[in-house]
Amino acid sequence: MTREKAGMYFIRGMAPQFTNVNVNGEQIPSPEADVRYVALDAVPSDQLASIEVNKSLTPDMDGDAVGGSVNLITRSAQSKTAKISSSFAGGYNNLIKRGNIQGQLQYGQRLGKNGKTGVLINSSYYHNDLGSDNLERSPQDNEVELRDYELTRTRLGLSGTFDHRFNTNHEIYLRVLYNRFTDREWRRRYVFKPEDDEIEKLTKDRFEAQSITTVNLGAKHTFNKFFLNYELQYSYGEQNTPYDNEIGFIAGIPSSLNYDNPKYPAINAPGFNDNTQYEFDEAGFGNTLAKDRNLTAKFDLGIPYKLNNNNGLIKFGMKLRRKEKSFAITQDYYSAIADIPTLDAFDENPVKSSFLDGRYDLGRLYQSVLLSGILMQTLPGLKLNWKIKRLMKRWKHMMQKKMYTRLYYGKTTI
Amino acid sequence: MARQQFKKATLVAGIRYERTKVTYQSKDVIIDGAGDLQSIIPVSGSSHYDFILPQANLRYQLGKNTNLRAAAGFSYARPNFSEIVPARRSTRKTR
Repeated sequence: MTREKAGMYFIRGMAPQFTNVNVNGEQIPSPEADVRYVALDAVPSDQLASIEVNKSLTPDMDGDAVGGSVNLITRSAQSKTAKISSSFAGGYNNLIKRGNIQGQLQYGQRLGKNGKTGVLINSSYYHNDLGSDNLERSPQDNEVELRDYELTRTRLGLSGTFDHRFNTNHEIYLRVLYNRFTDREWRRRYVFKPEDDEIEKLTKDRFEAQSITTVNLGAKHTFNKFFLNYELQYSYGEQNTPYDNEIGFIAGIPSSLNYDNPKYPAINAPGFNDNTQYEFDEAGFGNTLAKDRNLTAKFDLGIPYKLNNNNGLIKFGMKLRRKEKSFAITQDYYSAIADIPTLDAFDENPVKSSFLDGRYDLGRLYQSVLLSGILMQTLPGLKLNWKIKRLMKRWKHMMQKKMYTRLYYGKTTI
Repeated sequence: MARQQFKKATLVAGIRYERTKVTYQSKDVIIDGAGDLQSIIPVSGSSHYDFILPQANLRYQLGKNTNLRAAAGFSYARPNFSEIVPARRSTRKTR
């Protein structure tokens, strides 16, 4: 099994969509919009007791796995003594000058006189602020982009296992898992286009939340001649992107690019970070919501036997799963039809002059007022402050809604 | 399925049958020659497929710490959701 970037995995060389991911023995839906694979970082490792990897299938496993099957097993209470464990870690990101934290708290105990009832509750949280100073060059078009990224990622994990062992032969259990991953991204770009005597300045703001919920309720029985296991599972995956917005301004400033230093091209564009030069170009506002829900019922019946002192087992089972997936995309583009103030009307402090170790001066940024103003109008429940409201009102009057570029809605039941 | 031990060898073999019914609803977005939204038409449909999947796994214990394994079986991959729903992508030149 190979693990690649951001939770991707390759079993027997097959791409992730050919491997199914299970939590506590049952498939879970992907929180992502169009794909079936579940990135393994969707479940924090400190929620897990172990990971099983099957490279070849047996008939009691789901058959829709060409590469293999991964089973993530959450923790359960082991001893009668109460066990509380916690961890805390922190770090510092020098690029964006901010700290990050990570913590976990877990309680587990077997209760009752004989420890028949097990309770385990586990929680973890992670907050990370990160950034990236990025330069991209497109030689065939003679263009250079300066990209300043700022990201905030959080990860919340909650899980619980409750089990009751009537005796060594009979047991019932309830396993619950909830995970939420959020990703906020700011991207500020300059695009230098010497061939067109133009420079673009764009700001993108995007928020994405992915969550996975699983509930397994089941029982295991061992009788004299056979054993019987059965389980109900509910699982839900969601990817919610309430806003994915980008606003672009453009300036008619000539520039020249010099690649003598190929790593850091010299940009000669006097006044490129002067916001009074930039006029509104276009704005795109998008949001998407993908939901995926599984409802599964299954049972397994096994009859052990002996044949000339050799052990044998005959096993039979059935499973019924109902899956429902939906995906909605909305994307609007706006362009100006009347005079919109130049960019300096929307800019804010501070000046970003330390990009790529001070090699480029990005000037004054523009962001929150302009972008979140529109968001707050569309997102109910958020407070809108007066200044933003007025500004947005003015701005909205000057724009004309051009069209719905893409509207796609799909709902699948499997 | 059955699991049978023959001294140092263990065989796990059996058959799995899976049947999948699919229903879908989507919307067809009609954009006219000028690039404006003309209409949105609901689309729905269904399909089904099934598989018989024989599988066999063999393990032979060569020594205390060494196992020899061989497996043969059938499995399948499901399509992505956008490949189930009839869809097309149209791009407007943004500038």
